[in-house]
Amino acid sequence: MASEPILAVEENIDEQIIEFCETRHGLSEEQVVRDIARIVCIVNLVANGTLDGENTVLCGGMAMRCLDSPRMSVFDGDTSSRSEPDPEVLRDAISHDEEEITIQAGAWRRGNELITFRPVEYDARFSQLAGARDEFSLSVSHRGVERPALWRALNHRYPFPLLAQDVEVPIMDPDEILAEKIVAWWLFGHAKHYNDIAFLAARMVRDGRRDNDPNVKKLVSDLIEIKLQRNREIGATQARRVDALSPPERHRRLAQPADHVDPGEQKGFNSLAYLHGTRPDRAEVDRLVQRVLLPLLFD
Amino acid sequence: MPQSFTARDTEVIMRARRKRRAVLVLREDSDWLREFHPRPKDLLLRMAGRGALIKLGAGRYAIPTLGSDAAAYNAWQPMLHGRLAPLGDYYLGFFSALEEHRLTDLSEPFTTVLVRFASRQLMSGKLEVAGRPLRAARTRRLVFKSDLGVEVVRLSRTERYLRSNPTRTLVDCLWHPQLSGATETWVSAWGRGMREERLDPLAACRYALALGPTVARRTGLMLDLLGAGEVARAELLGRVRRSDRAPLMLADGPVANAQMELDPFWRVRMNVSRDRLEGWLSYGK
Repeated sequence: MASEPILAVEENIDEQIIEFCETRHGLSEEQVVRDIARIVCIVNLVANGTLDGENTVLCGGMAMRCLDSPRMSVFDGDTSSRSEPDPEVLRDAISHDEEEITIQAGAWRRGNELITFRPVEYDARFSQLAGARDEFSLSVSHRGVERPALWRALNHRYPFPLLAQDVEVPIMDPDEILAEKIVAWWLFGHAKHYNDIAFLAARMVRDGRRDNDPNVKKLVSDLIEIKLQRNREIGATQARRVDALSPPERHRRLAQPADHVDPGEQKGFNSLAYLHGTRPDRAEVDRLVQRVLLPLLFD
Repeated sequence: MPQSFTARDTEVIMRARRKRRAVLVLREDSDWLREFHPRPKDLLLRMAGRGALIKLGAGRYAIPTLGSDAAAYNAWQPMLHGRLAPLGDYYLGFFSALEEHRLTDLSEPFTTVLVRFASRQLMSGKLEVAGRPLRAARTRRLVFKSDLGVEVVRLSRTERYLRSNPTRTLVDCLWHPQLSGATETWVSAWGRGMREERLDPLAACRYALALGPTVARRTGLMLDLLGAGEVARAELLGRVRRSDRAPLMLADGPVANAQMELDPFWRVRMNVSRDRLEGWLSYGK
């Protein structure tokens, strides 16, 4: 039986998507159609109580978008849960059917305190564009959620109508996202983490210089220690990498991010997808990390 | 481009569909096209001008989905096949294959391929297919075979193209990293491939040997870092000459210097730190 409709796209949605992509270099129609399918999936998870803000929250790129980050992921979706979910229950919860779109969760795989559904297949009947029948992935990490969720309007940031009604989604608290991103940067060193750290630092400044608040400093530091401990518990290799992060090393990795912050630029690879605007200026990103993050964590 | 069809356009496309042609090639299809127009080239050019066909270049025209108005409405890969296959061996690989195999969550608006034939236009980076610029590497090696990880992807009864499988794609990143995205992108893809059991270490060794001792050594090191060192040592060691000059880990990374670590086993010069490689490889979300 079909579910309550989530989508409310207009007849000329394909033209709207094409027009939108023409003004955004590097963004393809296929990515936008897939992104719409992912948005429907998330709204459905909120509607059926899976993404409830109590046990499970949205994190990763989609949560960052709800905080107005221009960066977008193109395939993976991330959620985080306080407890280990039942994959079969999740499979049913992810699947959704309405007139304009069908979403069907496929195989799942267990990782380190992580369940990933890949593929989540969809048939976007509203579109004739490439990517109208494709797939994405959805991960549920159960490494814990420490802070209460923040409910935010699902900010899809498309200039055309998409959803039948405005929806709020529970996202991981931005301070906790910041702690996760800092730890991920220290441990894994991906450009997206460094860029997200800078974005969240700028948000702190805009939000009344929260970075100067001693309580915020303590909160972020405590969250970082919790996240490091979670990583330590994953396995021996990860524990070794966590233990190698002495305070000077943590400082060094933020203060001297080296050349892999723009890892592919010299080869002509953009590396990160941006739904709105262009990639932030590297000097500005460095400045935010050095003037906001370093004092926040080390002063 | 807005699409408009004359009655003759529709007949041409219907006939092509019956012949199971997704791409019309002037040289191959001229005979039956003359039934519609004495000059097939003019016919196809005019159809392309109306948006009834998509001009691929070199006398090739793709058929768009009826009722749609641009190449974007069609899978671009069969157009790539239509453009490159007549010229010789090719496959979609490197970054484009990482993307198709979902070994990365990133995307680029261009297409990366390996070819065996010479084409100045292709190597200049000025060639586009279906609006996507092509970036290519060329080799004379006979490495386009299915037993070396090149697969036929069939999109329909008439549409297909050639692509490297996940393991071959990852090994190719060690060969031509300049086409494979940022180093962190393809190294993380190795980690993802291993975790999701889509990287076959035995096959990786076989493919690497076909690409030469330098790629074989880099592959051995990557498998070592991923905990599959035993397989690598059994498959590669006896066939990688120890006397070879020590290659760089990243073909497109910093040039060698005396301070660089030399991996004592695989004799690869680490122009990227081992710690950084381990970090990228271990990223599991």
